[in-house]
Amino acid sequence: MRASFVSAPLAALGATPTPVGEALAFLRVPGENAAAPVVLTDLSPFARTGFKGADTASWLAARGLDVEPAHNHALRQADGSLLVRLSPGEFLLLGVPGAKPGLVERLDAAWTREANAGLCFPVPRQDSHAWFVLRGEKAPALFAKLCAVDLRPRAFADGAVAQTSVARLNAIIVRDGAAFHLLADSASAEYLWACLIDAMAEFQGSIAGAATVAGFGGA
Amino acid sequence: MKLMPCPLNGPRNMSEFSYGGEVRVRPEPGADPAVVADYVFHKHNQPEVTREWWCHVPTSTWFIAERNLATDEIVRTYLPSDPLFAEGGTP
Amino acid sequence: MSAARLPAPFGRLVDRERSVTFSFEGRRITGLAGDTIASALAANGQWMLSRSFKYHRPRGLVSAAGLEANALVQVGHEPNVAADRRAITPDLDVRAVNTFGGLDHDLGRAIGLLSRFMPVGFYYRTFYTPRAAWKVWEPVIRRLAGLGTISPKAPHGYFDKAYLFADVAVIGGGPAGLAAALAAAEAGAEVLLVEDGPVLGGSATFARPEPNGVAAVEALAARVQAHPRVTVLTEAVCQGLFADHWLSVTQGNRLNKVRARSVVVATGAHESPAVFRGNDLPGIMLGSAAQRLMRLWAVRPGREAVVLAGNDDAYEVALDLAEAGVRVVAVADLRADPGSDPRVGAVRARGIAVHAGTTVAEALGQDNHVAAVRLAPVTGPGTFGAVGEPVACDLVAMSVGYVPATALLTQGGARIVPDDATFMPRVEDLPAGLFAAGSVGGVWTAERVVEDGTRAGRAAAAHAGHACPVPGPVAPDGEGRTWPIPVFPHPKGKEFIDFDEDLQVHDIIDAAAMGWDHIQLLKRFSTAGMGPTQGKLTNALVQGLLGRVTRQVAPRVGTVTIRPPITGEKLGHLAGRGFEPRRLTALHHRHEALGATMMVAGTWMRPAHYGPDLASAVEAEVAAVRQAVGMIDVSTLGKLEIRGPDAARFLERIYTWKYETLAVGRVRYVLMLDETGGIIDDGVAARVHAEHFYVTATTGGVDRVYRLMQFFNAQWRMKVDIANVTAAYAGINVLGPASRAVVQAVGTTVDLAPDAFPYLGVREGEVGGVPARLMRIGFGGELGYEIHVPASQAGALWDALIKAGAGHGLRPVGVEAQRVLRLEKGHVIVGQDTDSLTHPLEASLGWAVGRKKTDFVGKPALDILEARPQSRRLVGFALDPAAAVIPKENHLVIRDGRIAGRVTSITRSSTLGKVIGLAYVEPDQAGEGTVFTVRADGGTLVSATVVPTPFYDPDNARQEM
Repeated sequence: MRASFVSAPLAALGATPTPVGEALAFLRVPGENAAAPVVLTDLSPFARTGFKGADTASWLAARGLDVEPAHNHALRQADGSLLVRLSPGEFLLLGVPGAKPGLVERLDAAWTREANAGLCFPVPRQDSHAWFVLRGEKAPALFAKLCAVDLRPRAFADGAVAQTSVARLNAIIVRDGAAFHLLADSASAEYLWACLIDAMAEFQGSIAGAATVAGFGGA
Repeated sequence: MKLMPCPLNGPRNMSEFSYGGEVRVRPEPGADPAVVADYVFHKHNQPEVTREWWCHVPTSTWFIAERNLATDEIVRTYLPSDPLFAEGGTP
Repeated sequence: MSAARLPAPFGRLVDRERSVTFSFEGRRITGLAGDTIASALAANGQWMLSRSFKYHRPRGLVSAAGLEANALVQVGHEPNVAADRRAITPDLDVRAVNTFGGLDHDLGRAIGLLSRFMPVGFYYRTFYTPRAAWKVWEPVIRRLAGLGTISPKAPHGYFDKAYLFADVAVIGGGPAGLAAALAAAEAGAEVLLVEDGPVLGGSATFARPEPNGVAAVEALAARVQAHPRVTVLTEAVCQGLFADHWLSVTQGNRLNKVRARSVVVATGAHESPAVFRGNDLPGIMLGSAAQRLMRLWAVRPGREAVVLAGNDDAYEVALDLAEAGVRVVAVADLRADPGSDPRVGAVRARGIAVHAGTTVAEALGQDNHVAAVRLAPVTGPGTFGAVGEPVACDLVAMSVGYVPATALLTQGGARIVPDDATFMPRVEDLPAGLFAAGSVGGVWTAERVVEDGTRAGRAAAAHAGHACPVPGPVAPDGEGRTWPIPVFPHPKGKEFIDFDEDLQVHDIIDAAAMGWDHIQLLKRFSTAGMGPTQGKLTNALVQGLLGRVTRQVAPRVGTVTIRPPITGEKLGHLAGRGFEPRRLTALHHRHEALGATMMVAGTWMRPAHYGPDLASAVEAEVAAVRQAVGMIDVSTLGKLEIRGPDAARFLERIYTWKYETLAVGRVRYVLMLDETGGIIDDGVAARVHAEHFYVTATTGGVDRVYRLMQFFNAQWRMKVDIANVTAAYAGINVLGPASRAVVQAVGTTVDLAPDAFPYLGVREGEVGGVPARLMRIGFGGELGYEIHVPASQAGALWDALIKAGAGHGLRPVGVEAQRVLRLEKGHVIVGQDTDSLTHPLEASLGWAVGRKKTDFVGKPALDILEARPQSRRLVGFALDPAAAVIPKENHLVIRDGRIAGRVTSITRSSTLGKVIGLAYVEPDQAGEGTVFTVRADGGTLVSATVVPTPFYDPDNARQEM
């Protein structure tokens, strides 16, 4: 069972985790308002993975993935997962939050040392990074208090990726429709969570559970 | 806050980068001690366009910047895989 | 409404229906909503606002725009408040600064009598001879200096920062800035308009409606605010322009970090005072200050006025005063011929006396306010003839010239050059992307200012990528607006040329005569321009006077650089929310639940020891490891995956030892040097597969090691992949004779039998149902298993181990105990037992250097260093635990009265019953049994004996079980 990296602050709000597949997730948070000007949700326990190396793009394509030619871009896959190309040779795959195993599990099982993937190696994104998602019309304004990259819609299109510093942490930001995925060092998750909550107070932000995320795959 | 044009991520605040020294040619094993000491301790450091190593910290991307040390103008940046790097002689 | 208030349409900022009461110097004052502190005080007849810095002379408004320290007040806990900019709110507690016993009865007035003894720079030559004199004077000077009080009880404010992005940033919301913002927005650009006042309009908010096109400006402001692509910030100050069009803009308690593609500076110009004897009396102010008081806050600035004119704008002031019911006694026009501008004619038509070629020679005061002036004919630059009789007045309005506010342009790289036609500096060499509009760039008349703003806005939009036709330049038209250097020295002095620093004309002249004749030297010696307002009103006058005195023109005299911040930021603005990343291991909350005392270790939090008392906890935890089993959270350890066909070769080029022949399933020490041959990090490499090494690094060093590995491979281009997985894996070290039993009890797929899993082995499998890598390494000196598991699953494993270990006496063990355990084995900690110069032979780590290797990072330097005689050696030592004083880390090794080395690590070892440690000593002291001396606290010399390491279990039998 994978625990959330922000279990303690969420428990302090009165939320309790529920097993969803391998994830011990917070599906609901007392007082949540998914229609607030900015909404923060933790998706850390849900499946994600990463691969890197010069041969990664071809290995992924050979496994049937739709590989984006440009780096710093994300492309939705057939099962709903988001394949994020960070650099020409580095990829991050965000699974659909939920219980149903998808592309993430399939790829993790497919890669073995013997499979001779060439210069293509797994990266433990499940545990190295915390995964938060920010929604709401004030999300770009919230980021502007923590991050020097312009994330307003006209500057940061759907599918765009920024690898930059957020609250002095190295972070990855992916725009997914109206939402922003935010991934940063898992050991700094509670610190980042506190920074986000402080910054969103100005916008009457709300913390919501994973079940409020569009496309959530349930138990 | 100066902007550095990262070859991978585009123009970003200088605070996202770490300086890695001038691009130099490492001495061969067995080189004369004077050559080794010069490589380790001396810098060229002239008021002209100089090739420098820079690292974009959030992505750990190392690249070369050609910067005018007198005016602080960054002329161009490229990855080590770019042919421009080899043209200058690989260290 | 008090008698000093004017009727509408005067007072556009005040709401006559809402009065606001506050206190000043303990007295209740009632003003109107929209008043500033200064305007409310003025409306109540309080014109004296402060006592001057040195001489404690009464001071009042000069600019009414925050350009002089005269108006600084203390508001409650908050110092440095500009009374002429801060709006009043109910119950403000406002006090004057720099007074002893209050503003009116300030005891400091007496100092003014001693002004003869305080020539310019006197403090450089007094107060310290004899040396003891300083002890007497220092407390006096501390009490006398400073403008305001910092209260330790001041409540904390909430400050933060935010980024703002724009195509075009326009600084200044006057006519030029408004025109530029509108033009840029209409060309498609996203515009940010920054205005430091509460309303848009700039000088149009207080100027006479005609010929200043005020109605047109108001219409322009409405269009700008309605435009969807324009964001307007009011009461926002652009504090500085930095590289690549990055601007800091403070608004309230927020610091906005603005990044623009192009910048239009439309900051206008400051009106400038004249300098004559007594010019610092309250009631003597700029013409624009009088107009601001009238039009913005409906305050009549006086009853009988004398206007000192150096341009035609002064006549607008005279007309405004007359229409507000002020009796304009006379206009003294510095110009020999005031000319025939209609405004001059209108003043004469009202019967107001206009004296051509005349200056104010002296102002006379009574009851802390100007009471009369004496006029005199101008006879030459800075000289006047026979002085006339006193002319009664309670207001002197000076309109003699302007200084363009070019600070942001110079910060952006433009050059400022003197202009002999206008007597105002001109801007040249604007770099790409930086534009000037309006009076700051030399364009003054109303319609042409709008034309110039439009031009600048279009040019800025085009530079930002929004192509549009850009009109040609608008010719400057500033001639006649500024009288050159209106400084009139008086034989009896008291002509103030810098109000903030209380400097008189002769101070400047004397300093120049002493040799400080370049403005940069003069400024620093005299402090001219170094006060709270940084000389905005007066730098040009000082420069002009210096030029006149030295008979040099401005380029020889030099110019002053106005650096950021323009008005002054609070430390809170700069601090913002103060982001300090803090990393927690996956087991953090469990440590807290177990009563751990947590400590900061770099950016991480780690358990120092469990339980409140350090000494007893460490002793119990060490004993548990040595005799039963302990459990240490080592998650902060750096972890790297090195994979690919060249993995082993890569490690050999990075680290000092050999790895190509390391068998799969085996673990080996790694040591990394920098190119000077100094040790920078260490750890272990575990070969989990032919082409896969799992490598550890120190907690504090891993990020640097990872970055260096990427740096070297960017050049070597080997077929290897390097990944920093430090946070992905938690590490739990189960250590002690019972460790095998505990791991067995928790359940594992790994065969733990000694021959199946010997010392220095690595195995992959499951422990407690969690996928794991196990390594047997020697840091603590006992049988142990360092178990690495995914961070999100670590908590469950820790809980299972606690449960399984209960029957074996398992204790959690903190960092302090771990340090004792490792020292008992004599292990070196990089960065504590090594410094940046330590090379392997000095630290007895020569065994970790592969002697047959041709190249690794640092080898060329190491070869040179090893060929030299060594200068020091790191040795283990022991000393008598009953010694009176026990040395500490970094206490020095003393030999024959000189420094021969230092202690790097030291601890009491209850296991061994001794005090043990590591120290650098000279090479001939390194032999076993040698006694050396350490100087401990209080200078006590303690003897220590060199002993071999490991101190504990020298045969390493226990860790290799």
